[in-house]
Formats: sequence, structure tokens, C-alpha cells
Amino acid sequence: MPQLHIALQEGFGGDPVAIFVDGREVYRKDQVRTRTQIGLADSVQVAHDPGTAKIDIRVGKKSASFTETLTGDLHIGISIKPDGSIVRRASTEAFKYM
Amino acid sequence: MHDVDPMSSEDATRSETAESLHATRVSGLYSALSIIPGLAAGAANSGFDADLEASGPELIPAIAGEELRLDVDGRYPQMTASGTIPISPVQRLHWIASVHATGPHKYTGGIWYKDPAVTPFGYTTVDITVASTIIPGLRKAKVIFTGAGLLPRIRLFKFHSRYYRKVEFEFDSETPVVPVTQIATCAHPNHPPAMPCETLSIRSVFQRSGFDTSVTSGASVLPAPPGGTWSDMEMHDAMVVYWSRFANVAQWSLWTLFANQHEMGTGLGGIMFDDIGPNHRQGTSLFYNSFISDPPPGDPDPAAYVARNRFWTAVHEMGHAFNLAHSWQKSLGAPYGTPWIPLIDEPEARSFMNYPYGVTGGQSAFFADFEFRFSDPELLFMRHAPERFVRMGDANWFDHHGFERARLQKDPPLTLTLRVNRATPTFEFLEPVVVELKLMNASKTPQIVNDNLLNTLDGITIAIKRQGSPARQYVPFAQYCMEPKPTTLQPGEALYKAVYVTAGLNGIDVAEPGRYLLQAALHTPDGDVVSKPLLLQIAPAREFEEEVIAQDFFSDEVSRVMAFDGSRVLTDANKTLREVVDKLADRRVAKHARIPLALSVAADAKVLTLPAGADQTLKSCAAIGGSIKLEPAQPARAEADLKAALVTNADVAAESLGHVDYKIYVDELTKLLEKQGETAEAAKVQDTMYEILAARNVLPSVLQEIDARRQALRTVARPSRGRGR
Repeated sequence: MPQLHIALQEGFGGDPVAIFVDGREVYRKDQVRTRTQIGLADSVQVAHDPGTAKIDIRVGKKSASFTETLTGDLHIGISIKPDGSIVRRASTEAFKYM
Repeated sequence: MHDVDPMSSEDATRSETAESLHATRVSGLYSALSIIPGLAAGAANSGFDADLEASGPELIPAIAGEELRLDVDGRYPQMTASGTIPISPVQRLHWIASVHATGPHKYTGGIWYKDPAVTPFGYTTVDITVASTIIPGLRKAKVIFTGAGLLPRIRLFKFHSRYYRKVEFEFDSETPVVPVTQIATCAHPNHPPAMPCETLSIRSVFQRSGFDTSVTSGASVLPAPPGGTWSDMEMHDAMVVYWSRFANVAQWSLWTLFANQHEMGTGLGGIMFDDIGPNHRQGTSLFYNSFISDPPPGDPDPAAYVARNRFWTAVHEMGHAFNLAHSWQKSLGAPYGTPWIPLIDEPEARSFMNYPYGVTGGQSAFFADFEFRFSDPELLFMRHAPERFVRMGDANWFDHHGFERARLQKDPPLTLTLRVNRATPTFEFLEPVVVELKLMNASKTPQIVNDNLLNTLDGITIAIKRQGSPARQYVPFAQYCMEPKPTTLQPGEALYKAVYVTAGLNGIDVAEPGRYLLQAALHTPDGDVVSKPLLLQIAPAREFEEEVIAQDFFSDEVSRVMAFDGSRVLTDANKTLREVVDKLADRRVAKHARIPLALSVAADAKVLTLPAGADQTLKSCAAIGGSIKLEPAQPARAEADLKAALVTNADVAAESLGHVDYKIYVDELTKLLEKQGETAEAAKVQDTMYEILAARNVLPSVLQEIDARRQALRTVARPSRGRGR
């Protein structure tokens, strides 16, 4: 079964974060903070059938939803921009950090 | 290209020799020239210093420890001059100027950065003249500081080094990893066409960045750990064990571990793992069993690609240890920290601090233009930012890749002063530290302020920094919410407030022997009004007994009792204070301890009492049989303690408690005596206070108030004496 890798990357400053995939909670932590030296706060991996996945993320009082199509493993990087907006980037390759 | 490329010291020596032949190069570190004052001008007239001589005014040697960094030629010149000037035993003024050439070896420019920003250093421009010679040891620089309304400050420096700072690296590795610490820059075909092809070492990269770099000879090889991967904690522990220079102090020294794999897996190529403990940024790691060892499919020279990637990653992680952020994070502020100066992100920078695959066009576009260097803003930071922002083990990671500078108000109508009422700001061990805040109208017109401003400390920040430790913000035990009470301060008038800074909600702030810097800032809509730094010292314990008592005295409970001037319920704290009075009667702390002990029993007090064995679950006090009882005053006990604290050795009391609190407490003693009908005694107490404070030059208005009080008390007291009391 394909794996959906969700990485919480830049801009997390200690807020509580919850992630739902197709309405099912897959991640919840009270304080999520980016380690700026690698640009990564935390990550979660979920098995998902090929097809469409709806990802909902709540960061403090903010939230965002993304719909992704899985044909194989998919890596989703979620970041919070300085203006507070939640953005995502998708890649079939694993993200690299250093 | 081979993995086995230990750095060749021979190569480094060759490159240094070649660069030292650049006779006209003047960049580098200059230190204060040791000339006997008065002979300075003569020293300047010593033949080869024609440039300096022609510049006119008398030369004055720089203060011992004063430094100049001139960055105008050589590798990647930043056209910047910076310097440090010792301004106290624990503090240096740091200035930075952007300069341009005005002639051969002459530079001028404006000072755009000062740290601390509030230091009264009004100079705004520097003019630098360098007497160049092929013998670096004879090179000198004259700096003229000028500023509006100020006499020029002229200082003479001698050339010290072509590097701005000194740093040492240790490269340890885990078996069987073989560190790549040098590469051939053109080994991979994708490189800038005009870039010189050479063998480049990590040491050379940092030398070119301005550091006199050395590599320790005792590199360790670590056995592979069980499980084959590393956690951050394990790496920190390994650093403590294997790094020959490890110490929990700030030092220009860095440990780099070339390891197999991090527990995060192959997705992590390296990390500056040391954001643990009190001294960050001392250790970095590389992971060869990660993506950095994977060449892209179809790469024309996979081995060269991997070697370059490993080399690049090592310098990248080491850059983090110099407090450099990633190129796209430069502007990042709270909650991570603040840039040292306003910075803009450099997402396309061809720098060691950018991710090659993150730029437009990906890694091939990056390496086509990459010249194995840091960006100019990064070099400016590494070479010229205050040492404590850059040096390993100093500022926490990302905290002060800048520091928050005060938003200073220009020509503020109010001034804020932090002071202690003693000639030498040295406190005995255990002596509580009470400082006085003074907010004065320094303008020529009346100013309306909130009369409660100093009482609430609302909008006022007090920073406390112990030498060698990070700064802490003083947070008082109680935050008072008071209605603003507008009052008019006439020119020269001031508000005063005593602040007990030994402890607060942050814990014990000023207790350990050592030097401390305190500074206060009032935040207003027009900008910040910042006090001059107050330097004070806590003396070491004189005897073992003091150290034993200190373990109980510096507790949260005792601190609260001291801050609130007494408690009827914190009995352990009261026991400790009584022990201080009994065992350390001749110490100043005993006077402080007597105050809360006395004031807690000076009047009747309401105390909540709960029955023994009451249910501890969340219920109302009434539901478990609690009640508020009035405990009676013990005036005789209170009087004895207050007299011992305030009347015996009254001058010591005024000095140690501070004038503001001393008056408050003497007035409390006076009230107590009045209440007991001892008005004549009360008048005598006010007499003593008058004499002490008059001798200590307190404001005439305060003395007038005391005088009025004692006269009133005498008026009441006379008839009683007349009745033959």
C-alpha cells in the first residue's frame, strides 16, 4: 500500500498541531516547533490506498485542507509562511534535510 | 577523487605564504598600539609613517584591548571596519561602519551599528588611514572617530593578523567513515568556468572567510555505536567524551563528527545537533549513509559529485555552528530569534548555507555558479558581528543570529536610571540586591506621566546578565494592575522606586558571587527609553556558615517572603530568616531578614486556617471547614526587629536597603511606635533618619517631609512628657 509521508517543515513556532487524513486523526501534538537548523519540526507516515487523500491540518487556530492523489509513495511538506498562511509542497521523492 | 583526503598542512602553509606577499593588502585585525601616553605623537613620527604623520592631530594609543577589523581588500572584501572598545570590566562596545576608499589606504564611512545600542558613544563617522609596509608587523592604522558636537577621538592601532578571528576545528569520525576535508574544485565537470581549479580544504574555506583556522591533531576514531545510527543526545554525549577540547564554555572551537547515519534515516545529511544544554553550537555531524552520498542518475562523475556533496555538507553544518541560518531563513524572527541586523532572505544564494536542490534549476544550476564561499551578508556577520553572536557556545542557536535591539527614542524627554545607593556597587554574599529606578523629566518642558508607572513596572523591562551567562529578564513576583494616574513632572523632577531584583518569578536572578550587568528600558509609543547599564558585583561568602544558610535562603519561599515584606503562613521561610538573624547578625542580610519578620507581626493579620487532615480534593474552603482567623500583632517583637534593622548602624541600613525602602521601613517603625503611644521615640527615629539621609544627600523635598513629620511628632510628644510620663 502506498505511504503518505507528511512532514511539518518551516515556520512551526510551538503551536498545537493536529492532522487528519480523510477525516481520521493521524497526528496530534501540543507543541510543535521547527528545528531551524534542519528546517523540520516533525513528521508522520500513513498507509493509504491509491487514489485521493484529503489532508486537513490545524495549527493553533489556523487550518488548511489539501487534496492529494496517490499513485505510489507521496511526500507532503507543510510549512507556515511568515504571513501565517499554511502551504504545502508535494514530491514523489523523500525530502532532504541538513 | 578519493574519500581519503586528510587536510594537508603543507598546502595551508603554501597558501598563507602566498597571500602574505600581497604587500599592499591592509585588511585584517589591528590591536591597540602600546605606546606610553604622551609619546604617541613622537612614535608616529618614526619615519615610515608618513601617511599617519601627515594627518595632523596628536595620536593617542588605543585603550588596551581595543581592536579594529579592517575589511577592504583580500578575499571577498566587505568594505567594512568594525571595532571593540572595552567600556567596563565585563563589557565591550562594538561598532561597525561601512567604508569606502578616499585615497591610497585611506577609508571613511558612517558607523551604522553599536552594541550595546545605548552606550553613550556619539561618534558617527570613522576615517581610517593605514601606513602600509611589506612588513606586516610594522603596519599601523589611525582611526579618527567624529560626531556632531564631539571632539574627534583619535586612536592608533598596530597590525595584528590578516585574519579577523581565530577558530579551531576537530574532525572525529566513526568507523569506517573516512572524512572528506578537502576536494579538487574542478573535479566535477559542472563548476563555474572562471573558478580557479585548486585543492580546497575546509580549513581554507574558513581562512578565506576571515578566520585564522587550525585543526587539532588528535582526531579520534569512534567505534560504530550499537544499532548503527545516532540520536542527537548520543552525539552530544560523544562530543563530551571524544572532543579533546570539550568544555561547557564559549570558545572559538568546534567539534565535527563524520558519522554513518542519524536515527532519522537517510533523509538527514547532517545536523548542527548542539542545541542542547547551556552552550550551544559546539558540535556538528555529517552522515555519509544518507542522501548526500547519492549522485543524481546519469551524473557525469558520480564520485566527484559525492565528494563535493560531502565536503559541501561539512562546511554547511559548520556554518550553523557560527550561528548562520539557512539562506531562506535570514529574515526569520520570533519565536525563533531575531536577525542581528535586518536581513533579507537569499533563496537563490550560491552559498554554503543554501540547499543546492532548493534553488531555481536545482543542484546543477547551483553548482554551475557556486564558488565555494559564504554570501556577503554571512561574511559580514562572521567577521564583524559582536563576538558573542558568532562564537561557539555563546548565543544559543538561532538566538542572536541576531539580538533584539532597542527601538531607541531620539532625544527622549524622560531618562531612566538604575542605581544603587552606595559608592561601590559591591554586595555582600547573601545581601539582597535592591536597586533604585529613577524616571526623570530631562526636558525643558513639563511632562505628563503615569504616577503608578514605576509601581506597576508596566512597560518597563529590566534585564539582568551575569558575566558568562545569558541575559535574563527580571519578572517581579507580583504584577499590579493599577489605574493610570496622570501626574506632571516638572523639568528635573523624577519618580523613584526601589526594586528587589534578587529573585522573581524567573527564580533567583542575582545571588551567585560574580559580576552582573543590569539595564532597564521603558517602552513608550515613541520608542524605548533605556538606562545606562549598572554593573554590580556579589562578593564571595566569607565563611562556610553563609554557604550552608544560602541553600535555604535562596529558595522560592524565602524570596517571596522578602519580596512581600513578610508572611504569617510560610513558616519554613520565617525559620530560615530567623536563623539568618541569629547566626549572621553582623551581616547586612540580617537587616533585610528582620524587616519581613517584623512587618508580618507589626499588625493583626488575617490568616486562612484549614482543619488538620482536610480533604485535598478541589472543594471550597468553607466546605472543608476552613475559616479566616485574625492573628494578633506582636508589637514588641516587631519593634525590636525593626530597631535592630533600621536604627542600629542606620547608615548601613540606608545603604543596604536603599534610600527609598529605608524611608518606607523607618516610617513603618514610626507608625508602630506612635500606635503604642511612644511618640517621643518615634520622633527620635525620624531624627536618625533625617541625619542619615541628609548626610547621604537625598533630595531636599524628602528631608523637608521628614522634618515636618518629626516636628509633628514632637508636638504630640511634648504634652505627654509634661504629664510626667
